[in-house]
Amino acid sequence: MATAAGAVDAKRGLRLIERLAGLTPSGRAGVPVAWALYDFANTIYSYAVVSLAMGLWVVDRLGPADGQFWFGIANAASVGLNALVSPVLGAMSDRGGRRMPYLLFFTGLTIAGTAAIGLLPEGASGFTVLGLILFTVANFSYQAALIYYDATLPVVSKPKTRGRVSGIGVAVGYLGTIVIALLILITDSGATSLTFLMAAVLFALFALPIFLFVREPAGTGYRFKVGDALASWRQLSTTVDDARQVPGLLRFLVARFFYTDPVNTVIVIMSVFATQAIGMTTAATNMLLLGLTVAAVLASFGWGVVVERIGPKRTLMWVLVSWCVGLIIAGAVLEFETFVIAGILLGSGLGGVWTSDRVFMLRLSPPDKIGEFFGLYGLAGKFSAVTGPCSTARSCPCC
Amino acid sequence: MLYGTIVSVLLNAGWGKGAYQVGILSFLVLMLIGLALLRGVPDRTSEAENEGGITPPPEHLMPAQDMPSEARF
Repeated sequence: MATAAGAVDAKRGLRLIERLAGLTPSGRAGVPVAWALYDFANTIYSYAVVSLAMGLWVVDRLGPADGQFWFGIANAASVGLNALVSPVLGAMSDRGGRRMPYLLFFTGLTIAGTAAIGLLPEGASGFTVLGLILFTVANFSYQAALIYYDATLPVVSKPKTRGRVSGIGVAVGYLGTIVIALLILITDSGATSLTFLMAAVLFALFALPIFLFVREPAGTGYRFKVGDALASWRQLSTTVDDARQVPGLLRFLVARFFYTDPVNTVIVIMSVFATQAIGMTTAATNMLLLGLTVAAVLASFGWGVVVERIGPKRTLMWVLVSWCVGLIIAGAVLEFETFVIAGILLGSGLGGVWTSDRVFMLRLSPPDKIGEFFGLYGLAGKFSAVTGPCSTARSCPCC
Repeated sequence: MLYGTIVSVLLNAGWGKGAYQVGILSFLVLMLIGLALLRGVPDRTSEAENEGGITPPPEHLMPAQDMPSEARF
């Protein structure tokens, strides 16, 4: 009996490997897995450092008012500066036709910055400015790495499997959130050095496979020069002109600004909304948010399949419709039950947005301009990320 | 920005939970604008999508024009 069950498991495992191998042009199952693990890795950083520990770390040292103010400034500076240079960073990678060296550089910088914050002496307020500078560098690098990561999707997927590969990445990314949330809970590390060190080590560990397994086609042999980076600034207006030549691209980027603004803001305000408007306790809110993250994981796989069946644009439109329904339910009745239903719709849609919109962006971009246009794509998302949540701190009664 | 300003102003005006409801409404408005703009974006297949598609073989490997089309067995 045990042997028969083992054989069935082995068959299933082989079928899974075959299916994974079928998703990628190289036919190697390790490639989409390695690529998706990078999503797992960077989400660990995003949750542990940006969403949780850094804000508390600064508040512990500067007090609630100054702490939140300076954390907000550091966060907005890193994201805002990155938004400004995103198209330039993308254009530079287009010159060489390769993304991986840039991805490696910025990933390393994120990990080093995060680890360095963890190594600063505990409770020493004199190091707060240094901590904020390190966070700004780490967060800038994290955002920059994302541009190159998204732009490697065509390398690891076939045109017809992009939806599924993107969906697997998003789902695995949410798993990263769950894993680090549980680790922080178990170790009770909060905003201590341990959280930063855990985030840095796990980011390095799970980011490693993409650099080992994903092989880009040979580039043009271009080597990075500081002069070229400066010259790329002059290319910014050319990038916008180039984008105008692609039918619908600028319209899509403007649309992206509008729909990612509520998405980015809801992520930030959901727990405040649950406690203040619905009247839930903090513990119940945390449990619910964890449950909704699981919904997002499962839905991301589903949305990936939908992208392949009906295309990224129609999928994205359905996702946004589901968000509209979720928002109507959440706003119309302020009850626990309706909030859970709205949360499931919004949580599932959250995975859907990230799964489908990068595939749609890829569909709209000419191959030789992918890096450049993904820079603009990042600009639209990051501008909304800064303008969305930064003003909401004023609306939180506890701040 | 819209959400932050709306909720902040309405909470100060004593709207209580209603402030959050109006805030959520602002998300809905932004989402509908995004949806309306997205509708007008052409859903086309780019060159990047075709990269992995079937490409014709080089000219010297192309079958001759007069080659019989029947299977060779």
